[in-house]
Amino acid sequence: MQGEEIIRVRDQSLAHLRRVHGDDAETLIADARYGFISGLMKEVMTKPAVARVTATDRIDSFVLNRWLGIPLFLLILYGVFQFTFTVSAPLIDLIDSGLGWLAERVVTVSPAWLGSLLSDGIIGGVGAVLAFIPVIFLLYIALSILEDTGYLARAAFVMDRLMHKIGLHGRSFVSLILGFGCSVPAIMSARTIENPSDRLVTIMVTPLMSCGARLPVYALLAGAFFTANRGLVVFGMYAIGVVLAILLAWFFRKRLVPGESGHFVMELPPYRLPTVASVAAHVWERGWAFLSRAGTIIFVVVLAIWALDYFNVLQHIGQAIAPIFAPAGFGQWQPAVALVFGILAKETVVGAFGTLFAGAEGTGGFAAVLGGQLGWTPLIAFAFMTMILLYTPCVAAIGTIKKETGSWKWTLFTVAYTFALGWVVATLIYQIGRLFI
Amino acid sequence: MLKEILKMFRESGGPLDLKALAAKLDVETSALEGMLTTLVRQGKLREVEVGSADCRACHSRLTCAYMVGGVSLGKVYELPEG
Amino acid sequence: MTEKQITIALAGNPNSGKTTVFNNLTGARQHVGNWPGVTVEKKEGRLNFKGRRIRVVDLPGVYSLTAYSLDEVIARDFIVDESPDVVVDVVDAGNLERNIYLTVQLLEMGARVVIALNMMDVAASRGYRIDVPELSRLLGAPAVPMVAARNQGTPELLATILDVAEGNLPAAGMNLPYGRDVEEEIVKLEKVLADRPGATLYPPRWLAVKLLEDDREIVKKIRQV
Repeated sequence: MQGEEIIRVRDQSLAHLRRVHGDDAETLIADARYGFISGLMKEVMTKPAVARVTATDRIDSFVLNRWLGIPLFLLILYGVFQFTFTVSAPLIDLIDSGLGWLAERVVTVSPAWLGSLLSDGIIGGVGAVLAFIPVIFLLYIALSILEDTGYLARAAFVMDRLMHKIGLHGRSFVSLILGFGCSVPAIMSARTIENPSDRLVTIMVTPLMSCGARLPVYALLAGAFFTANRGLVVFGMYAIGVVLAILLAWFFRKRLVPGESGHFVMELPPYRLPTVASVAAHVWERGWAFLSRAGTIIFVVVLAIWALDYFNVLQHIGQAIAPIFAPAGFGQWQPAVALVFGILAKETVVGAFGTLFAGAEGTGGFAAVLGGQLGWTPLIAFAFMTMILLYTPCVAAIGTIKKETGSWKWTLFTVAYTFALGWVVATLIYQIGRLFI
Repeated sequence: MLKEILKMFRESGGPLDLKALAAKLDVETSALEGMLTTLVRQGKLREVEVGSADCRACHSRLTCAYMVGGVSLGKVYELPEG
Repeated sequence: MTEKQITIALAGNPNSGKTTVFNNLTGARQHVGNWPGVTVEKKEGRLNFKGRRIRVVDLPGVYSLTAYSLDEVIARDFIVDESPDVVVDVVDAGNLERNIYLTVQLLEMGARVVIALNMMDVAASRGYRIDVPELSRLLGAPAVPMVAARNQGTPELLATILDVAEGNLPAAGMNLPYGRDVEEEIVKLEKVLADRPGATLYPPRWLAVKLLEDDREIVKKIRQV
């Protein structure tokens, strides 16, 4: 019999089997093999009555526990922030004084505009951002360690279980957690979510996962106004971001076409001790990226701020916008300007403050300047930080959202809703807080 | 066996841990991995690698200062849509 | 009198210790090349045992013998085309359930299989106990416990290989039962395949099963007739 005819007979067989068993022959055959092997294993292999419990299992009985899992995650995250900020604080102040010393030397350079550019613009502005290198490095050491030990996988697992209970996509949090570093890869990783509604919702709430660029801003303000509790305050920012991300995801999900929530199986790797080499490699890579970012986009933006300020244009721009933020407590032109430039890159908020308040040294200095000149209280600083946390993401993120969603409508919606959310929450915090404090 | 695996996927109340799933099905964990691969080859499951792979290929890599280099979870298996 | 060289193929999962077994068997007498037309590494070696010359071909480490991966196609094509005297399946006793999946497929191909039950130390450390004779009986292939990492079991393995190659020890394999409906279709296809012009290189039952599994390579081969 010719080949094609044989295939036809085969096709008839397949159709028959599909009718009778409702499945491909391939599956039936594979199942028969697995079943046979399973039976054979029972005949041939005896395993000890109690399966050996590994160290990984023992740790996981706490970490994955339905009641302990999330509190443990929050505790670890809080610990990370406490450690990072406490240890980095003296280093930041050291760098700041060093920069301050340098600025004083440089400001006398002539011509005057050059002196100002170097001292206020570059050292004051870009320098202010660079002063936070210790925070960045320490945080990423901590996160790299968490990643290498295998804990982050558990954190994503535990949070996703929560997401699923709320009716959100099974794998959203796994994607969102990348946002703690930078929204751009986090948004791109949503590509792997097939359901379009789930993917869209995940993308839209990703900016609420406080990205690394906002960290210097928190470090500055929390350090200035909440010195003793800075770790707690920064932790609070991250927590607010996560909570709002989950709430908004749930809310968006209800409005958009609800689909079936994803289900997934994931392999939790065994716990292991991180090696100095791999942690060092991660940290070096990120540290270098931070520096190159400071050297490029932040540098350019701070220069623009300096120039606009030097030619007395900035103040007018700022004063036009500032009233919008009055209800939130920071209706002055400097923060208004900083927020606008923050849409280019979030770190530039620090750069803006650094340039505009050049001469303020260290977090103590900023506390004095912001408190004295602008009349800021810890409450206002907190409200401002929430604004930074929630409002419009940076242009790189906006661009990525447009690219990944392919839709101007949803991109602009995200730009708008995040701004509105930031404004509303900051205002609420300030207005309600004012009644008590 | 394969049908049961797919059933557990559909009825799961959240993410499943590979080891726990193997225990439920009374098979060795590595054997379950083999079955998941079979299902992926048949197109009944998707295998997804989240995180690091995307970052390495990302064009924003240089300007993205804060890549948390991928919460590399290794393999994640899920039901394909549709 | 020079007897014919014995060719054995070494199969097994990746990480089953197959390479260690290969090294234990061939020592320094190995050479590396490529499988024809592809960039997959092919290792071959030689040894003498009890006056017999033995050629060892290391197949790519695979978990199964489907058409889904090049490594798997290379492995099974070698077994079919060159019909080695013995196929040694290196099995990781610590992951027995997964490893046996390949063993079963080798047996279905009609290969003369000797199971090198490796990593017995790992299994023991986990408290596993394996009834080796029963395993042999149920699969229809001799099994030799080994700890290749310590070069334990190699002489016994070679003795078993020789016994099978010389026909002193049966390695008839087994036919896995697929359930009545599938078996009926297998019989139908076997009949139709028997009428097919061309080589009966493959066991008809195996061909029938592959066709039902819609194995891409086999379907292509059948179509070309």
